[in-house]
Amino acid sequence: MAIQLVHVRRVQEGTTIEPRDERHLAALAKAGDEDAFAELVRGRTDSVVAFLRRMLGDTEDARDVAQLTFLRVWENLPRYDPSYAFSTWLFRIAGNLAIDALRSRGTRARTLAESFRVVKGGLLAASPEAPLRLSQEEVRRVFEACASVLSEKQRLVFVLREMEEKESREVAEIVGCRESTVRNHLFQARRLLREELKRRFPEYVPESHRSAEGA
Amino acid sequence: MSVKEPACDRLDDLLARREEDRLTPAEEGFLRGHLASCEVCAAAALRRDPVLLFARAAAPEPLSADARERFVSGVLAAAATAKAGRRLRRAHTRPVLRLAASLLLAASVAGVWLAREAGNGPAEAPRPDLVAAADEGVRTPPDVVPAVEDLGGDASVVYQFPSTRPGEPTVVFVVDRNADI
Repeated sequence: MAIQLVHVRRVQEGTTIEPRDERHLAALAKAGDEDAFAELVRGRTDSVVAFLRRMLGDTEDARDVAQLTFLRVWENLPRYDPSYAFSTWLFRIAGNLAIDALRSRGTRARTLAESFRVVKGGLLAASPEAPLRLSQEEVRRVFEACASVLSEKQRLVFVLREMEEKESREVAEIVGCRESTVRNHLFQARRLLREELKRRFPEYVPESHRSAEGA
Repeated sequence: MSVKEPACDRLDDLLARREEDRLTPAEEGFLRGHLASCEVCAAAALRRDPVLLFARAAAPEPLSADARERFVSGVLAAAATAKAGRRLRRAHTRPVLRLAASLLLAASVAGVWLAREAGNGPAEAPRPDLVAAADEGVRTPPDVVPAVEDLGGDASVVYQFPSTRPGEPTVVFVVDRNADI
């Protein structure tokens, strides 16, 4: 029996693998190398969980869907096209699963988000720098509350573009649409978030916006 | 307190083009970096577009090393389970092959039995070759070596025994390792 020896460099915990290395690891994994697949998972766990956390707003859900994402990756490796960056393909799978999860949640999550309110918001209302004084965790909670008005696609585009800081071209590849469609989703998402922020958290919206858009 | 930098002068232009999603990646990086370091511009940017607030949302904490390894192990275990499940399903979704093998085997056995029955018929004359062999007293069974065809992987193996005498049927056995008995 022939034994194929494959050397796989162990990726340091928490570091990002270079795209070229990822393609090489993906090629090895595609050929059935489980060690290479494990390295891919290890190198991408944090970024996928973080992205899904922003999409789903819940850590446990994010980990569950992340696990499902990597399972789908493993199952579909024979169909992976190396002309795409591995991360683009990975985020496409994660994004689709996140949309499925958001849809399956339905109205329950929206109702919960509707009931959320930042208690100390009122105390900061007088200060123009109030939004800057919010902790990052509070900002995240405000986003969760406001993002319930977005469609799944709008949320996906907004998270990828504004929070994950991906370029429009890559977002288009992940979402599977044109860049012009990405821009359209992005503009709509910003507009809806602005309106929702003004409606529910007026203390974080400058006076000029409140009067101008309220007129 | 922050001192006004040259970068602050570019804020309006950068924010205007950001709204149209027309910034280059380098400009985007520059704007993000500047807003993170200059409180005056950050406040001005939020006054212009309150949605910029969400760019400050906390990036989720990275997993601890232990949690990451548990996660990776969980994924690998799930992948192994899925792989085993697929093999099992594949084995169960080959009833046609199993049925064909069974029919072939049954037909072969029936063929042998019928040939023997026909050979025992009363009206048939003795075959000259057997008579000749019997006369010589050297009637030994010839060595029969089956032709073996392995269909590869965990699939079936076909054993084909050729006929040793004229009129004797060829016997074929199909061994399917995945067949349920």
